[in-house]
Amino acid sequence: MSTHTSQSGTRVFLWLLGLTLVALAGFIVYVATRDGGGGSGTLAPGLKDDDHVRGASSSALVFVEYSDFECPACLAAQPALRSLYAEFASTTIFVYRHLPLSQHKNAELAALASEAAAKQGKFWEIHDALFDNQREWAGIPNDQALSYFVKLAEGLTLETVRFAADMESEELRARVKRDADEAARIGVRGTPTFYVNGVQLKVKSFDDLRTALLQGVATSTAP
Amino acid sequence: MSYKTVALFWVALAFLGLIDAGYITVKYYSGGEVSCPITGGCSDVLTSAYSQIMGFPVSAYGFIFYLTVLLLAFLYLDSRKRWIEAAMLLLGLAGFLFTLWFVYLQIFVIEAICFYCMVSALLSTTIVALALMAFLKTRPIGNRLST
Repeated sequence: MSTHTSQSGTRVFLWLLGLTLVALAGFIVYVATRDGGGGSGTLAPGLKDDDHVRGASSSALVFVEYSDFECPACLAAQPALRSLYAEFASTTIFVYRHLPLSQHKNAELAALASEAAAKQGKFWEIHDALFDNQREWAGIPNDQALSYFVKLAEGLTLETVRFAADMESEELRARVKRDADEAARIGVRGTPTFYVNGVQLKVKSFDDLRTALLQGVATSTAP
Repeated sequence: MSYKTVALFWVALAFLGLIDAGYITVKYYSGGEVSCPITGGCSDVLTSAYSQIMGFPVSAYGFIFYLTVLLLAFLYLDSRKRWIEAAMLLLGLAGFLFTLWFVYLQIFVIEAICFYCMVSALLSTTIVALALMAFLKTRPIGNRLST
């Protein structure tokens, strides 16, 4: 110890170096995390003609969900979402938009399956079935997933030949890509991501979704 | 390898660890999504039931761990006290035990791999390995602990 007292300059330098390192690490984290998604963070509030909607037929309150049928967090959100669909059925328009993430290898196929079912008027039916059976088809090879989806469609009494053909169509691929492109443009990077009237919700728990909708109902019915 | 060399390496490793854990912690609280290179399972891991302990994200504990590693390394470089050598070994081992648990969870329970978590696992494994190398070289530690 006594040998170091003559080196107080070195000691000050040492600790300043330590503080600089911590500050530098903090700065790097700041730069890496600034501007959460690299997009505007706001979503055009209007509905598109071919959006998948449920709930109120017309309302000032629009709830948009960016989701991926193969994402475990989206599955975890299902019980909460389904109780919201019921509770706010008369006051809120619920919109489902696709954001199939690349790490989920059947996610895009599942999105296409939902679009093919939508062509026969059963988007929400297959939406529920895809989530309910997610563990069965998540991560299996693409061709097996495809036949699994056709089987699901059959279970929903869809016309399976047409369903399988629609799943191959460029039109539906473009429809899914449109949602995903918009998500990228506004800076949605993960799923599920929720918007109420174009404003992204920062939710820590699914209860926060309900709170946000209650507030939305309160403000939209206020004079 | 001397404890001094270990401390110097620790400074560099803790610096990387602070960035890694800091990034995830800030993302956790800001609600933004992490970009996930190579492994692709980050959101699955970071939103899993195992991603927080007592209300705080695991990454926050990681951040404190790396802060402690950095502090110990500087304390040692400054004072060369013997008790810090023992503390370095204990801290390294504690970090490594948590690492084993979290890697086990990722591979066998969550079945998804998070890139940032594996970077942290690599860092903490290197941290304990260095401390062990210094420990083995400077045995017996029993005498040293009693000073």
